[in-house]
Amino acid sequence: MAAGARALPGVSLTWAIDDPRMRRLILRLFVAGLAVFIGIPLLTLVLWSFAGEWFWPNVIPTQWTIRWYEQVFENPRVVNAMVLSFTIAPVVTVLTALIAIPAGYAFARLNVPFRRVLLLLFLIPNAFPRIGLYVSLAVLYYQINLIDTYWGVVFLHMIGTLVYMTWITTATFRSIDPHLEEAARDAGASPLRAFWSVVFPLALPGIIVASLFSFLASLDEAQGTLIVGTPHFITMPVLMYTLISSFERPVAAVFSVLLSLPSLVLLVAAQRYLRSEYVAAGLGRV
Amino acid sequence: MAEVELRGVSKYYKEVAAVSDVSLRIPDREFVALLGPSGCGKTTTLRMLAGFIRPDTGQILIDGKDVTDLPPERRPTAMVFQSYALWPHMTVGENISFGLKLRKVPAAQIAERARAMLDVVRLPGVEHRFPSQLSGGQQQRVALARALVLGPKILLLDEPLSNLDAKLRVRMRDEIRRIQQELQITTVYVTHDQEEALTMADRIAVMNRGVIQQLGDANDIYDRPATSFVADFIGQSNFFRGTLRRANGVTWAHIGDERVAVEPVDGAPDGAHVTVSTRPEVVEVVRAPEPGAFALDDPRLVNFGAYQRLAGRHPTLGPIEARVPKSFRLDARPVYVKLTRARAFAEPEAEMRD
Amino acid sequence: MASTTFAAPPRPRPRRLDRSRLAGLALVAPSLLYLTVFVFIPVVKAITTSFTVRDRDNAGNYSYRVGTDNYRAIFETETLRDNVIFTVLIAVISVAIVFALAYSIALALRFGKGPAVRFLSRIYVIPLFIPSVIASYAMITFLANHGFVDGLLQRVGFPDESFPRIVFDWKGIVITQVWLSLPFMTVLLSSVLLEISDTLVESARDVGASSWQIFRHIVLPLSAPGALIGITFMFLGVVGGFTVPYLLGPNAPQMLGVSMVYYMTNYFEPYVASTQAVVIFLLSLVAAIYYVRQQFKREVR
Ligand SMILES: Nc1ncnc2c1ncn2[C@@H]1O[C@H](COP(=O)(O)OP(=O)(O)OP(=O)(O)O)[C@@H](O)[C@H]1O
Ligand SMILES: [Mg+2]
Repeated sequence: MAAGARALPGVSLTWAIDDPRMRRLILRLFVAGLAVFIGIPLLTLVLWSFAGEWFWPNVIPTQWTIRWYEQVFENPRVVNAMVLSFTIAPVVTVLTALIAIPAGYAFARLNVPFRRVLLLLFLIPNAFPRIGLYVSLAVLYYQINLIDTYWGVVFLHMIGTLVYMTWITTATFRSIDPHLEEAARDAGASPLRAFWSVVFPLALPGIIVASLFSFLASLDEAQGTLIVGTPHFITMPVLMYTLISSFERPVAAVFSVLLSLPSLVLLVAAQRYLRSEYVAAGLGRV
Repeated sequence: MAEVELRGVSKYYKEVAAVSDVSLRIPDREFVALLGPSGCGKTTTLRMLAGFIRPDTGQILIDGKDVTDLPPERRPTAMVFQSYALWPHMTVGENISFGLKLRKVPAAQIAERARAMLDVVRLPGVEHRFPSQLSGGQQQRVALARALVLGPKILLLDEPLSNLDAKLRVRMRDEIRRIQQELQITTVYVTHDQEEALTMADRIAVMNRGVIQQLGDANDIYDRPATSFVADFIGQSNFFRGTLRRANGVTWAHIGDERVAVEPVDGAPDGAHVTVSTRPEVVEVVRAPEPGAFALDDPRLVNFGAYQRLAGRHPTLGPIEARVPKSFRLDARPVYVKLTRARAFAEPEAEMRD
Repeated sequence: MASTTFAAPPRPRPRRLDRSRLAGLALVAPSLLYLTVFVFIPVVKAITTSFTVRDRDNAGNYSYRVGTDNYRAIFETETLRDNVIFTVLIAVISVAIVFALAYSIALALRFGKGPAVRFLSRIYVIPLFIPSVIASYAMITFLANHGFVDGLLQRVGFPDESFPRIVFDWKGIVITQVWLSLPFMTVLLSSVLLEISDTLVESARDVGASSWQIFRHIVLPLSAPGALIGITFMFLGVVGGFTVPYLLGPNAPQMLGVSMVYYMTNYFEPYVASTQAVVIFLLSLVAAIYYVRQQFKREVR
């Protein structure tokens, strides 16, 4: 058998290339290209946020400053948006958890009647194009006076987070040995107590990850909030639309950096939890 | 006093009967083993006793009180799971104390009782360890302690030793029996290992396809199997198919042109089709022809360490095995076997041993 | 002693209200109620609204009737019809590019080793954590005329004004969608490839299959169903997207998401907007049905 075949399934793009050195070179070029494609646009934003003076076509700013950061924090619109975003996201997360965790538990453990129909219903929100859902919801909101209200925004955010959290908690509960819970019942615990003392603590890592992702999803939701929340409920990413179109480039850059920080912190913290089921379970932001 | 009774209990999954019309009364302090092959309904029966499964028909009584509709937390039973089911986020001490805390036992007493119970299972001083820090055998003891600390009336065990290695299994077997005797607790023990059942239990209920085939002590089920299934499942047997004939107060099974004397059979008419079984250790081997002895073709010896088994064929009866001492030698002389203490079972075709 | 009776026919005791089933229903009920009010009713409403026609008489009074005028409007108005075609094209192109890239990354992660692969596994997830508004903005500053890349090319000697129009053009939408969707698709494909056991690949190699043959006859067919879930899910995402086309797309043609929102919020035309929403649902119906069926199979087992 040829040496090339033995080195296979070494490298991906290069299945058909037999020279290992050539293959390695191509892989490295591919990775480098990808790194540039993913990284440099973000880096450009960071540069802009510190740019005192940056005349085109210079590749980096000619003067550096942090005054945009000061400006952003003094801008009442920005501060209001931050406050709003951070008062919506926790409420969305808690409300979602309150209704999604029981549903996830029921799907994982209990003999739910009409289980198949219900599963189907819980998959549907992901199968509809989001913007279509949001516009339909906005039409309803006009009629029930939820348009441009705090709760209207909260309930809209919950469409994505609810489905996501239901599926993750279902998977989490399913991974816990049911005998652990039965042992608690056997020791005299009521169903509620058995859940609280045994199942919940064991499911906590999964629930925390799901909650963090829900929190972020709410923090980042822009398009639906724009439709049902304007003009009074401008969250951070919605304000970003305005900042971009108003061409305040350094301010928008600063704001972008600030808005990305919570997610990036989580990326570092949660990387080992980033298992495929959490992603596949239905990210609301493909 | 703690006696358990199952009265006509059945459990169906769709059309399939996992447990079918089982009745069983277990008196106080008795150790009963539910023994049977995989899928025969042992676990289902045990879980109905514990309250995890609600029977479709029948009643479950503990000390004469109907508990059929009580959830597990309101039954005086305690279960030891095959997987131990120790709570991994609690220490051994917390595992054992959990039920006591629920019962609002004062803290000082809880610690005392937990420690005492760890002594009973001979595992003192591990209160502060987590289950993952214990060996399989130790986890087994903790599971036992956790079940026993609540002072249950009935102890239920579902194949508790199947995750242990062979040596440890024998040790824990004796240990569980010792504790059961010490605490005088009514016990139901599920196993598919006949050695466990025979050595540990006062009485054994042999199950097959959701039905209790025979209930009796080790001698009953070994020496006087009630069905061909029991004869086959417990120990080993030689089997033949034949027809029943009674003559001069002797019951015979006619197999082809041969006939074998069998123990008396109730309720089966002459001419009934029967399955005949006899154990290798009661098959008598002789070296000269005599009445009732069958010549064996191609005799072979198989060494089992402690004894040997003689295997051969009879042209009419088929394969036959006999247990012989290690001193037994094959030589030019022919070998004959006498089938003593044979039992005949008249059973519907579908119920024949499988 | 022996009980040799055959299994009795089932005669279950009359089922009282089964507590576990009732509890299951009760636990699902709040979520179900929520979904009904905020997803199912709006969808049904969008459908009925799309068949509602508003007429205005000479006195300026509105009257309403049932009709397909809204749909006719969409397919007879050239701009709206172009929007539909544009939406589908963009979605197909983006999905194709993402799939090719993600499959390559996933293969490298699954079968490759070494520092380059380790580095790859770190960076490819980053876009997952960047809000789409930010990603769009980053791409604007990066790719716009007189943006970062344009500047860089100037510095290395390309003539002025030679940089193509990417931002505010279909290319901008596609590039940004690719950037945003790459991690999701890669994670999904990686998990699919992980399910292909090493022994399978190795035994193929033992019988002398070449790299290409292994890929073609083992890896590709085995990963196809999982890959299709990713493709359908991403298709739904792009068709139903707003942020990227809104910030980076051309004024005409528009993607349906953008045009829908304009009709809703700028022209206060819920009828046309709802109709476009229904059109979007229909456009993605095949993908949606496939997605739901696959996920459903996985869940029900
Ligand atoms: N939840 C269930 N749904 C459907 N069928 C079941 C269920 N639980 C058990 N059964 C069936 O009921 C029969 C008895 O099962 P049970 O678990 O009681 O067997 P067992 O004797 O404990 O076997 P094992 O030695 O393998 O544990 C089996 O045929 C099994 O397939
Ligand atoms: Mg079992």
